[in-house]
Amino acid sequence: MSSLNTNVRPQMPLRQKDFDQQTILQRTTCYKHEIWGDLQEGIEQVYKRQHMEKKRYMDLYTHVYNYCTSVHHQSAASSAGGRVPNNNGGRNAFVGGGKKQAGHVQGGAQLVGLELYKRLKEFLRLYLVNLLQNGAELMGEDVLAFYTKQWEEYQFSSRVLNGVCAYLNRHWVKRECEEGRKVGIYEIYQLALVTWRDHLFQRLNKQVTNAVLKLIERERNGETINTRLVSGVINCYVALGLNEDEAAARGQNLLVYKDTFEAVFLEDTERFYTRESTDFLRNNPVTEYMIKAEQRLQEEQRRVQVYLHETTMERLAKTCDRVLIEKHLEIFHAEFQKLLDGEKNGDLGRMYGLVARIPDGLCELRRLLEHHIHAQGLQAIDKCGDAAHSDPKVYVSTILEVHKKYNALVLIAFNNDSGFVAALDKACGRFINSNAVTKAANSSSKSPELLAKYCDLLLKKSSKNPEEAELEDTLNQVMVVFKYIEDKDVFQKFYSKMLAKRLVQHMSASDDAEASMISKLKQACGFEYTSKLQRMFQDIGVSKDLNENFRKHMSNSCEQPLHIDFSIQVLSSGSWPFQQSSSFQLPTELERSVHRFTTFYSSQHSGRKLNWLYNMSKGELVTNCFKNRYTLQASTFQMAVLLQYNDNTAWTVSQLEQHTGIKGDFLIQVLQILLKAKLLICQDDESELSESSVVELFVGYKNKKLRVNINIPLKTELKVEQEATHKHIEEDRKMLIQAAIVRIMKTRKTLKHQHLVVEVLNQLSSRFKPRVPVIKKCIDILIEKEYLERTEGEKDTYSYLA
Amino acid sequence: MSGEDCDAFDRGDNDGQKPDKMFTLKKWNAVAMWSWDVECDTCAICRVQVMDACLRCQGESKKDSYGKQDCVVVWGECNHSFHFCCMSLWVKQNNRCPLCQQEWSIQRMGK
Amino acid sequence: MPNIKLQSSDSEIFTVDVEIAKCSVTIKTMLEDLGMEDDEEEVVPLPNVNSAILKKVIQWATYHKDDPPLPEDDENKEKRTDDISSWDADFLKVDQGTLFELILAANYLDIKGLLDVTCKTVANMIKGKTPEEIRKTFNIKNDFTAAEEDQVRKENEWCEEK
Repeated sequence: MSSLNTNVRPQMPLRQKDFDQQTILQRTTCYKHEIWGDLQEGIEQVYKRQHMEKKRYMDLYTHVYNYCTSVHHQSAASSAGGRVPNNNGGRNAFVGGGKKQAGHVQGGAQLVGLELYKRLKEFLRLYLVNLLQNGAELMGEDVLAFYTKQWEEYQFSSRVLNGVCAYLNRHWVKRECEEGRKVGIYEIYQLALVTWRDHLFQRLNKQVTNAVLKLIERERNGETINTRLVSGVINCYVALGLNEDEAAARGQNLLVYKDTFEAVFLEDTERFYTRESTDFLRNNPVTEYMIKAEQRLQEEQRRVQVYLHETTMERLAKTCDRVLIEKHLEIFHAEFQKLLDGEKNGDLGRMYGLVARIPDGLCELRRLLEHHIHAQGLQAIDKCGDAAHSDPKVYVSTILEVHKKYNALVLIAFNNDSGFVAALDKACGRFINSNAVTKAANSSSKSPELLAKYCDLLLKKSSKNPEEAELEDTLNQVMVVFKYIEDKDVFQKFYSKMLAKRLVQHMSASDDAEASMISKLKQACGFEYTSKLQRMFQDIGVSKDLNENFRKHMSNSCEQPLHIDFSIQVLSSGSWPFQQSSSFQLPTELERSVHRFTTFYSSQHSGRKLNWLYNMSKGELVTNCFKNRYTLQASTFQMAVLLQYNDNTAWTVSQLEQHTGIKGDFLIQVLQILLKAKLLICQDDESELSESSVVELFVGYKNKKLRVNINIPLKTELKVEQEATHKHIEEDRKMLIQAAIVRIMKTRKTLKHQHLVVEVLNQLSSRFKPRVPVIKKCIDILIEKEYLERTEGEKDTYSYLA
Repeated sequence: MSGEDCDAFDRGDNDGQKPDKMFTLKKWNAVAMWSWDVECDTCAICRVQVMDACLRCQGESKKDSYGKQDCVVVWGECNHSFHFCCMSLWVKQNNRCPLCQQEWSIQRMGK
Repeated sequence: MPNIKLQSSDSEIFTVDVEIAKCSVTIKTMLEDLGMEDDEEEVVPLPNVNSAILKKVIQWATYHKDDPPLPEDDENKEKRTDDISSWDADFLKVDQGTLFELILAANYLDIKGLLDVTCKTVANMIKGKTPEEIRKTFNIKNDFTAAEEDQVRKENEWCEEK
């Protein structure tokens, strides 16, 4: 845009000779002086916070405008000197963005802007220097009051000034910055800030910051302070952190705040709390200290929210954590044990909250907890004494109690922190698998055995069977303990044995509960673990149908009826943990039943053979030889012996052996029970029976009840059974280890001994923990069987033999 | 002894009426185990016990055990026995008994 | 709807809705800084704008009062001159003098939209014209000597080649 004085409408063409350079200069200089005079007065008004009318404002604004546009003549003149006519930035004159070419021509406009700018700068400087005199000697709250008040007013006034000088900002300042000549050139508001920073702030900031820190200290000591004094100072510091390389010097970089205030503040804080915490701990219990520390941490957080800059939060928290907590970790750790012993859950929770703030702070606490739970578990089992060894309920309940207690602790006080849950699990795993009971039995398998026995108690029919919901609950708790058992295969063996007995003898309290337990085991261990158990269930069901069919068959047949109440359980061999019966000669009374049923069964199924388990079969005898008619519930062997007395009232042992087919030692045990039951009598003492001992029927037999159960399992039978079970387990394990070794070697082809052992341990860990000597033995067995060989030339390495 | 007892049984329906019997048998709950009537208890084809389901059936019905009941045994004329499923697949390739190489024909099937 | 009184350089007073007046950033800033006091009687003088122009400016602002705020100028984007709305084009069918006055008023009052559209209009008047035609349009006296003119033409020859 060429040539227009704003108040004159050009009617004539513009010619250079109309414009005498001197005149212009003269005219504009006077004009400028006039403008500045009034403008300065106006600015003083602004900074005196005097009320300003809108008219006055517009006047000042217009002054600036006129000032900036007053030398268009000159620039027009100089442009006529033959340069490319693009003065004032050419096509984008008013919107900024001049090109480099405009450089030379800018001369005129720039100088004026610059002068105004310089005058403004000087004005501000003088204003602040004067102001400083009023405040330089002040300290403490006075200097804060002074600083904050002055700052607030100064900000306001500068904003007004910025508005008044908007034209200057929009054009001259903008262009200066774009041109790259921006050093020290800012928009007017930023200029005001920079001037404050350079003149007032530089001189006062030490006093001010000190005063602020003193106030904060007083607040920390419990006094109420005027927080606005602090927040005012902080806002000022933050505002002074300008991004000076940005054209408009906008945006904050918090450098001033950080350097002048935050750094010192943090130092001060550290000093304060170091002293306070050490003093407090010297004179107060740790539990009290923790409460105080918590309070202090909350307090500091609030402090930042109320009057500090939000970026300080993180560093402040870290400083406080370090000084209040980290420095005293050892004391905390010592206290932790005490709190555990005293079961002070609230304090434990508080300690957790505090120590959790320190990275890696919780490690030691976790370790202490694990140790403690382990010790507690062992102690609890010890306290039960012998009861724990023999009574499964006592054993399991004790374990569960300990677990429950510390599970609750971890949940409530330690926020279910995974590290602490792991500590609990480790500790439980240790004391459940190795404690006074297992040591006494010299075998880690005692635990799973007792657990299985406990299940048996729960699931067996008894006089006091719990409700379904309660039972379900208890079974769930059993699973909790099960999780920790290492030798899960031992549990499986015992459980299946006891389940088998329950099923065959129809002693289950509830089929639903049985099924529920099996499904829980399936969830925990997989399908394979429970497949045999499922099969057992099935067989019972099938047997029921079988009995029905047999009865129908019998009633439909024209043959003689059996004369006895006969029922049978037909089980799939391989799924049931039952042994073959020992030698036996079937009494004639039973022969027919066996014969008839076998025929029937063969007609139903082809290719099957039946193996009768007499040792599991039992029945009832009715007595006609005593005063009363008793019904005796007896085992098949007992029945065989007693039925002999239908033919004679006295027999020698060897005769009985002959007739019943029951072998010597076993027969003697059977007789011992019958003797104990006082059905039979003998001259010789029961413990000294021999082949020639004569055993007579005791006709004077009496019993209070009419139905008498003499079918008590033989003690040795039980013991033998148990040992046999354990032996089986050992053998099964050997097979599993061998199978695992073969599997591994088949894949790896060659492997070092150490690695093989580790692999085996890994593969079998879900079932049981193989002992290394046993693994070694199995390796040797396999080498003998030529599945593996020791690799020639390499130490400790094996190779697979296909 | 047995003859006497048989007479005693045949003579009457009610037990316990005959005064000369000291003890009379009233009730008997027997337990027996059934297994396939085989000489060798392992299926030579899949190396699994014949009483268990063959590997294929084991893998299939993981959910219910009922499927496994159907994995029965089959005898050849040579009296060698295998899982029915295993043998059915075997005969597709080779109609000879895996153990004795005799021509295979089914003597009976388990049920 | 509060009003504000604007006074032109020749003392005519115009009462406008404050929101319309705030199209001018200058007025807007002033109101923010000084506070919109209840004194509706206080008059805002605009010494650099006469009544005729002020009238036009108010007219433009009234029509455009609901315009969305303009984005910041992207220095690198090329500016178009063909996107003047028909209403604006109509509005600006005025004599040159008025047009230039409007430019100055928009600049003084900091009304970006008006400034843009008026400058575009002038740019369109220049576009495509030869120097002689431009001189004729704007009544500019040629103050180049023949030699200077020649030199300038040579320097800018590259623009001619398309």
